[in-house]
Amino acid sequence: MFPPGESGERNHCLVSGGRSKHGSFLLISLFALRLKFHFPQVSNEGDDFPVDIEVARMSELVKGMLEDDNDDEEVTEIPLPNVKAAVLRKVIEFCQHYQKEPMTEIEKPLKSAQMAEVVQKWYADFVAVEQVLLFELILAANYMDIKPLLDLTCATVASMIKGKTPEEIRKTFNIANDFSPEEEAQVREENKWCEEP
Amino acid sequence: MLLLGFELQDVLRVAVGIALGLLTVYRRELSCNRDYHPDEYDKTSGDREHGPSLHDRGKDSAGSSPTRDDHGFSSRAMVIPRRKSSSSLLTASHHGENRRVTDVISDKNNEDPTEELLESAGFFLSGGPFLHIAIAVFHHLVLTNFMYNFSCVNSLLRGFTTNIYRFFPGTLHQENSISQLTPESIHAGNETTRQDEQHLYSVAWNAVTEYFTSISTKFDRSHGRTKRSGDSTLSMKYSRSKSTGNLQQYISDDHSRALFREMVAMKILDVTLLPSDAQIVIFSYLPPADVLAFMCTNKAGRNLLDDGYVAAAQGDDNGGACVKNGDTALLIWKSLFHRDYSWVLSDWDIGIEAFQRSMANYHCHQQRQQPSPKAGKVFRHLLSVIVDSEYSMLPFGSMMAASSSIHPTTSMKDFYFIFSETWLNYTIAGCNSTEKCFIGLHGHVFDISSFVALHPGSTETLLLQSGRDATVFFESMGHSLGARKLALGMCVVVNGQCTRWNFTGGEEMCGSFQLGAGASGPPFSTCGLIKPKCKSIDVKRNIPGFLIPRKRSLPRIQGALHHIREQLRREEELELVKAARWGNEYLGSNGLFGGVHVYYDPFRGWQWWYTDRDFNVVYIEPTR
Repeated sequence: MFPPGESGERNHCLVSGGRSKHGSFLLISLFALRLKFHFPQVSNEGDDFPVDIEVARMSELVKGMLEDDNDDEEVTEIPLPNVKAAVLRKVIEFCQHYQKEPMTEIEKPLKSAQMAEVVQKWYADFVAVEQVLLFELILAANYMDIKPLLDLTCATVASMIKGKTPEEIRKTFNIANDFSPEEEAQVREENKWCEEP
Repeated sequence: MLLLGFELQDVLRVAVGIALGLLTVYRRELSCNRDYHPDEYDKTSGDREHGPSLHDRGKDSAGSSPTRDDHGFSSRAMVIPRRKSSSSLLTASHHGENRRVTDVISDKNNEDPTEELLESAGFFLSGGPFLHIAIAVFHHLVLTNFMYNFSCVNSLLRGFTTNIYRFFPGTLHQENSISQLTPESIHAGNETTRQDEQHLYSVAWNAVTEYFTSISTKFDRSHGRTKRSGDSTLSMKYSRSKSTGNLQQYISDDHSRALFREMVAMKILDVTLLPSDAQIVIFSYLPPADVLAFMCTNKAGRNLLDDGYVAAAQGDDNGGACVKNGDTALLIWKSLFHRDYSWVLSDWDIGIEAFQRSMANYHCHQQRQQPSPKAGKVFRHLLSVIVDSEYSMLPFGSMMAASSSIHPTTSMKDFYFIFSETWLNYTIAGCNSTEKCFIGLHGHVFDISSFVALHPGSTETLLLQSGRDATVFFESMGHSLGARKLALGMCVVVNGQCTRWNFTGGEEMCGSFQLGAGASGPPFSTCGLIKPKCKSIDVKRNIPGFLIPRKRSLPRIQGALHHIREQLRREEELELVKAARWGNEYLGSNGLFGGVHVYYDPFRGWQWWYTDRDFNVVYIEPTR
């Protein structure tokens, strides 16, 4: 699963919190049943986030790797090359809170464009971030396969679309309109929504 | 040794089954990894017309025309296009049975699973787990023989295949051809078994297909983690654990990743660049009107969401990168259909009946039409949503078989909107007897079976009006507030779009009623159809005018895609005229109770029904 020749470095990482060439990675100590998320690239390098194994298991990706790699090694290293440290920190924050207060399932379709009305306050605040981070979170949730996080972030994006005209959606997402006027007229006509008989 | 006590026929069964298996293996061993596409076949037959080779001349002189109109012959040639030695082997070894072999194969071939099956067979067999196959085929045959003798083959077989199907629901949606094929062929085979137990070849067919299922599922399990595509997320339960395909997509799709980074750098965030799994989740949170609005933002949005547009743009022989987009659109609309409407057809007995009515007549009437592959795909996806575990597997098999001959529409998006327009008259069509009496009011469906006799108006009036939407009649009779309240208790399907939860408008203003502080939004999502009991609507009945207006008013109309509504209206007028003319001509006024009613079956097109003098409902499929 992991590149050979790194086992030495792995132990080293756990002890001293040294650098790795991976963007971010998880250090998992199976004996202690504690996870350590390690961020070599952040400025305050060497931050360790002790995490319960249940939290890490929320990610199907990590769960699968734990199962695959079920030997007696003390430390397991999971490379997450596509997840930025800042995003991973956010993900862990979500997973930890989810253990304490499970998220109510978000109703489909959304009954309101305000996230605060469809989900608990903590979660609504959690996704009240700038769009770039939100999209990174979607990618990370999709990649690490964390269903509640994916639901939450996707619902947030949906709430940005809900109840808006195409112009407003373009403005929200900075989308350029690449239709020619005729095309736009045509697509509007094809997709005209009528409430009246 | 088990076979000693069996009759000759049973032994023959086994022998033919094994021979068929061996033949398949043999053929594939010799020509592993070769593609047998129908086009390839066309090409060869086209070549033949130009200048028949030495090899083909014999065939041509054998009497069949070069274009091969002869059905049986062409189908066999399609199954075994290259290995003439194999086909002659077949002929030689099974003289008497040969004709039936060809029949069975050509039957299957109409729906083209044989080709797919052999295709996939080659796929699995080129590696050559030969012994396994032989053992499994043998085992199955012995088992089947046993069950025949104890005449419980149906139940057991059905249970067996059902289990397989339930166990691996994801296999239905795999992209590789074998898994798309398997449930279909199982059930097709299964049905054959039931219909004619003496048909030896159905047993063999069953065994082979079933074996391929098990192989394919095994294969999926061992390779599935990396092979699974986003497609598998369509599975009915939307189980995330299956969709590790994202991983693949995420990592391997470097280009779109780079594009995404660029977008991020420019602060342009494009939903269309997200992985398709995430897109499906995003749009599954939105009502259809908003999805349409997003579609109008730019070209990428349109490509992402309008599968009809994509299909039209690339024609039916789609290939390359566009397919992914088309599929995502299909999946998004499929998830919306699943969310809003599919339970009506899978979880409500009246809807189930209507659906079965649609399916039952497929074979008779739609065979002649040439299906497009895209439409077949839409239909297969629909089936996977609609046909839930409550169904016995047998109708499902015939439905899957029908999927190649029928096309509701080529676009899942269009189907969604057509269904939202037509579901009411479609599902309750013909439900106007005293035992089963359903009526549509303001977009909702009410079960008035137990109330018909008690209604102050005559029973006949009610029966005349029921079985379809009767809002106009209901309102013209001027029902009282008490009557309206009484009706609420009989509601069986709530149409979310036709509910009113805020009464700031004049229609149902109620001075004494105040919404609580928290209830600034609707109590539940306001699109799609809802079971009255499941979303605490009992409570909502206290809100005045929630389901139906409190006083006389115009029918509540749900939102709709404009051009589809217009089209359906126009067609309905025409159909009504046609139906009335037909009724006068063939039935006369005496033969009818009420008129001939029309409804649009989203799977088959316009249908008619009427009640005859004995209060029996007659469904008619108008000839076109």
